[in-house]
Amino acid sequence: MDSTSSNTPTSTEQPDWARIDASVKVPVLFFIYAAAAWLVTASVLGFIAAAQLVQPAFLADCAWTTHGRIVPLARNALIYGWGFNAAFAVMIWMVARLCRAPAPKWGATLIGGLFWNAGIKLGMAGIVIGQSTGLFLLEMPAYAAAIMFISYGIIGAGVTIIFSRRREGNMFASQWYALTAMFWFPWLFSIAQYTLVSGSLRGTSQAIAAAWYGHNVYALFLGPIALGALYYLIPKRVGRPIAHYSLAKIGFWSFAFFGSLGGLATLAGSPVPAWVQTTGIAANFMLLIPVFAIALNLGGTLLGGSTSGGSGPALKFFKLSVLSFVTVGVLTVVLSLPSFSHTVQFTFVGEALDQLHWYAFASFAFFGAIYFLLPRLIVRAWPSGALVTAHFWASVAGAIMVIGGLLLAGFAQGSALNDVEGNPAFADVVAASSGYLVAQVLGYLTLLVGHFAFFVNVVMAIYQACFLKPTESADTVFSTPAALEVNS
Amino acid sequence: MNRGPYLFLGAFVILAFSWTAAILANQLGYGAVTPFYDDLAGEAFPAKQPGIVARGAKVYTDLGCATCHTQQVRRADLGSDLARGWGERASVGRDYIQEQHVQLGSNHIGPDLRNVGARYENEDPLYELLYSPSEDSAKPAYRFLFEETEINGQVSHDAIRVDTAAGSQVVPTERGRSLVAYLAYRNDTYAYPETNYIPPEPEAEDTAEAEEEGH
Repeated sequence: MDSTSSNTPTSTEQPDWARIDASVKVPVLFFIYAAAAWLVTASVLGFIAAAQLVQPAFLADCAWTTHGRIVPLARNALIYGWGFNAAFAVMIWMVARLCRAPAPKWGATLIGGLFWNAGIKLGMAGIVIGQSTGLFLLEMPAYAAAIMFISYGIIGAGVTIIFSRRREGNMFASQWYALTAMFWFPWLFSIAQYTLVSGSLRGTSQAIAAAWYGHNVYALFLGPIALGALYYLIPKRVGRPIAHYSLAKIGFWSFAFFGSLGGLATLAGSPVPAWVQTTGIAANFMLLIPVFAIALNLGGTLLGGSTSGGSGPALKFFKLSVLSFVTVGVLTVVLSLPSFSHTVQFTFVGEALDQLHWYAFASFAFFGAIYFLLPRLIVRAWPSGALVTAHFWASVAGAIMVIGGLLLAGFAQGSALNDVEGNPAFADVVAASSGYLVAQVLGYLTLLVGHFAFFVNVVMAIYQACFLKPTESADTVFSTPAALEVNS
Repeated sequence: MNRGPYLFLGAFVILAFSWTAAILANQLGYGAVTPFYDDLAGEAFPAKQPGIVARGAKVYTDLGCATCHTQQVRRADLGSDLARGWGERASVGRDYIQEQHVQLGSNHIGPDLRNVGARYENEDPLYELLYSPSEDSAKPAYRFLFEETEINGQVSHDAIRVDTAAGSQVVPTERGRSLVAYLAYRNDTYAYPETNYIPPEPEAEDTAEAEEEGH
């Protein structure tokens, strides 16, 4: 591999970026808008769920709003609503850019996007009225899943057409991640739906399949798209090629291989075959290989010298995203050691690790990517710098409170559970963790403020793009990236 | 890695391997697990679930009870489940093979419910827990599983024993009855050959420490 040309996403010959960006503008803006709206929804639902843990009677009189339904609603809004829409936006834009090919002139991607979101709304309505399947991240009833599957096919077809038109034969790391993730998800989703929702699995093999699918939504879709965005945008933003690029290939394949089995570790101690549990824990240990390879690539690029063009929200989010990626990789291994897992299994710690994966790593990467790409699409800076700042700090503070609160609550809960003589009644166990759960409530309130600021900024930016003339020429857009991130 | 086909081939192999290991191998393995026929008792365990229990499983599932409750008892060396009286033995895969909706759960926000039916002599306490849980419980009252009706002549034999206004009674709905039937059926007391697992002895120094602490 020619290392001088392949470890940087752009070569010296500049294609017509403005034309490529314009070809994906409408669907990408739609996905960003939908993602931001779902993010606000997910934060409201997350706040209600967190509040119910502190104040059990809150909204508990009606079957529709019991904790057992609000939690899957919040999770589905966060993953399929925010996560997937943001991933679609980043994936379409990134693949078009990296393949140096404009998207086809068809409205199908947008229609696919509209139906994807309609499918989630229908599925969430199904959960509310009591049609949940009760399977982690597959709670939505089958009819909604069918709509989502077909819409995904349409969106994926659009990306495949862009890929088939590519002018650049050499594939950069970001393309490996984005294209394989695009291919993995429909397979995963259809297998899981077919085997689980159709009811063909026996006994606890249902739990194995659900754990496998639930983790792979992260490990084979959201995670790879987020990593693809980081591999593409960090070098662009700091003006340096990816450091130690030869490790990227090892990182990619081992992340996919070990990541795809990591979900089985959540079944440690469960009534499933012992080899399933061991495989999951071993896979998480081996996952340290890609975690460190990827950390050397991305962290090495970030720390490899001074950054041209100053700091901006995109770069700040990328740094925190990489930090969270390493943290959750190491933390998962440490907590699966017997001395810890004895305490933290079946506690809030599991939820904390999920939020580290989904929010602190993947979502932060998507935030950064959106802060980078949206101004380039609309050829205009973000409308409000104050809202960007508010979003950044609220997200960071909220994430620390939610994840930190869950971790502490989980340790307190687990220790109290194991101390049977000190806490003979289950109410003692509940009392042990309740103080930390207040931090989670405050964290969700903070996140809500930040996500609302982000949503308002996105809506204002799209409004300006539709009704006002561009303020910058396309040339300015690509010469001074930092200036576009915040309207100073 | 410059060619698309190799990338997709690799991606295919990884997912195919993962699926074979996690799903297919287990489905085949579980296919060999059958109910255990007990010659002395003259019946097979676990027994097929009665219809009302299967309906109750759907109520348990759609209300998301598994958000807060697990249904799996871990071995004594992995957690305090047995010490807390959540079961007489650790759960095994065979316990679940008659269930359409396996709800293992992943968080002990509430106690484990795998053997909740074995903890009470009849269904009354389960109705009371659903209608009016104790004040220090993290569980809210699920009043929507009950109807408060006027007593018309005789008190309904389904009415639950709770304090109500004079002249009215609290009767569980069909969903409430199904859920309680399901909960009352949670009772894995039958000992299969594979449940006679004896956890390894703790190491000598651990035992000494435990004794000092008075365990």
